[in-house]
Amino acid sequence: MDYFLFLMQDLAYKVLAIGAFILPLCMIYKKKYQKLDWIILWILPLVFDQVYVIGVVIFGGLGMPVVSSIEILSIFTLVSTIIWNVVRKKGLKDQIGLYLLIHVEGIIFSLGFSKILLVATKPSHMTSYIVLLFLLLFQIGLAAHNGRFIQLVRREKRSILFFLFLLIVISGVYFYQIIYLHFFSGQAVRIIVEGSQTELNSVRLSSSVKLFFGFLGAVMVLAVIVGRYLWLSASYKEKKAREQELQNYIEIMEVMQTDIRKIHHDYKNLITALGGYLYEEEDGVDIPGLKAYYLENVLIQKETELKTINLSKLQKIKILELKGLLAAKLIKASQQSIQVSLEMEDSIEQLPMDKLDLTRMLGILLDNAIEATAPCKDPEIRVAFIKNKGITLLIIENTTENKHISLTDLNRSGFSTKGSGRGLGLHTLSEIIDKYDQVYQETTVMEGNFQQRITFQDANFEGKEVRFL
Amino acid sequence: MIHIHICEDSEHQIKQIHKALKDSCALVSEDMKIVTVTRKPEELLDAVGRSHVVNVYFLDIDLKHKSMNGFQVAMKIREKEPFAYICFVTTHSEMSYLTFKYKVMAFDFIIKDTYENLKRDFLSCLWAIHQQVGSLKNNEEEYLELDLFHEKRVLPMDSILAVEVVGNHKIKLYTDTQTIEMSRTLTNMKKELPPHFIKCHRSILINGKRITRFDSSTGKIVVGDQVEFYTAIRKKREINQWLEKRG
Repeated sequence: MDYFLFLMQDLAYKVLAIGAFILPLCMIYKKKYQKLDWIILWILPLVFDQVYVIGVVIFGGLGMPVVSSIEILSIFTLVSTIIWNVVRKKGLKDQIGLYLLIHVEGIIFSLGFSKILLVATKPSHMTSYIVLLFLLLFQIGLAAHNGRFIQLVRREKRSILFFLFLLIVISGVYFYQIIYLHFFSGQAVRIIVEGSQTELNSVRLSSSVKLFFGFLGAVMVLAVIVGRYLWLSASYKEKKAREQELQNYIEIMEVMQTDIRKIHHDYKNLITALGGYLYEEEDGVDIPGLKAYYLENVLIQKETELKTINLSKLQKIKILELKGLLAAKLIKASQQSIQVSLEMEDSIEQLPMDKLDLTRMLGILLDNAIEATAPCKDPEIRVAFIKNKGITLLIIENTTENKHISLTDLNRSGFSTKGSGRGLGLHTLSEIIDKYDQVYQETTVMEGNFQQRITFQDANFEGKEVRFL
Repeated sequence: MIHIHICEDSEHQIKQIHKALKDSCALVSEDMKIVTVTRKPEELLDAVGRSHVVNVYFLDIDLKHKSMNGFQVAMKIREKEPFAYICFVTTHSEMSYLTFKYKVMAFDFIIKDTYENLKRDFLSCLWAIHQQVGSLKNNEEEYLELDLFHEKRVLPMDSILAVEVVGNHKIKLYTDTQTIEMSRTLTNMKKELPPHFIKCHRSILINGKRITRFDSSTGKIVVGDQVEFYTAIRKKREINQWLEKRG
């Protein structure tokens, strides 16, 4: 019975300890995960830990497991969070820094606090709970700032250096806690945070540590294999999509080439015919015939000419992904007999946005514009890139039929004038834009007109302030 | 008094434009007068900035002039008269409409066409100007002036519904017809707004005059037609008090 009680206590302690690392994440990624994700993230480390414990009991032949201090739970939490992220295909790149940060904070704090407690009082189970409680509060208090801190690091383009630093700190702490204490002190070690005051001899500890690293290694290898597989398939898909885009672009260019040849040919005929009227009669020009011919043909020509779009302006865009997307969408629009105009006075070399986000954003904006303007009486889309001191503007304007679109509706998830479930694009759009501090969105509803404007602030814009935490 | 100026280099077209404008002027208001009709941009620029009336300029974009096209003329006018109305008259259908609108704050674009179409377009353009000038003259409404990157925006206070924090040092302003994001803090914004803008949440400021519905059990608050927010529990009493006071 005593043993059972001890097990329950141990379990409660572990749940709490994992919570110390999971709760701050919960606070930051409230929207990103569902409840199920959180439950799994909480349970997964526990499962790992239990597997590890059983492994120790079976293979170590030592009876009770030895090391189950907060560092080990932290490792399990970290590994399981990363695995779960890879499996669910959430953007791991953005979050890994945050995970590491939270773990470093947690471990350093718990170590520091437990050392203080050790000096102040005799360690017991009570102290370990106090440590955890403080850890929990501290972690939650920090959680709100962690997000900002990561953002700052990313803005200053120091991400890799920062991650490296965190990794070094983590491995240093682990080295000290697990390896150094054991191998170099060579004598019995008291595991403080766990609170069990058993004196452990180094043989037991050693086998336990070996087993732990064996287990960790296996998990890591598994994670790398799964991650690599997923990453490869994702990059393959992306490559495929790019190729398709390029293919479309080439096809469109070919079609336009033939179109231009046709127009050229038509004009030649026209001129020749005009010449005919001029020189038909020996004594002069057939003015009435000429006039009739002119009215009949030249005016019709004028209309057909307007339909072709001026894609030559696209060469001013130096961002390849953007160029391909713009060409594809604008041509798609003109195929639906939407009047398209593109304005680009200056060359666009770079924008302060990730290329994938940029293309996603532009894709959503253009798709929405096409969808909204297609059923209109005179469908029209205007796209303009304008450069001004320190900023680049992207304006997309289209004619609409709906005169009463409410603006919040447009930003609300799931809204679309096309019925429910189709407006996710706009929600994604504001999510993308909210990620960037130097990108601003502006939406204007006018009568029969709808305008989206995106302002990109250059990195060295004079009015920009750098803020810390 | 509204003064109209025309600059167009083709002899034939200037006559047509002049006639169409004169006819539509007469229909809109007696207050409008065509002052300058010229083929040379220098002549036009000489007169700019002298008189203290509302000036409306109709410019051809493709001026066949050695050093200036219509756009550059417009830029020069804009330098001297930040509030003048500039309209472009053009044959292009492929001109940079949005760019001109942004860079010289062009008011309207009129496509050269038959006399009838031209007159119709002039009429609607002049009518819009007439109404805008009239509404600016006789009202005591408060306005919010915003400096957005290089643009000055003037928004009527009553059209502003709410201000929300959306990011790091980034706020979003909701009006009846617009949402505008800008780089500013909510605290700074609150200083520029009158006291009837109240906080219903740490990161949301709403126009107290425009609250249309408030459900104190769920905390849902509707501002203007459809803009919805949720109030913080601590702020519910404040909002109820405000609504009682407003009646």
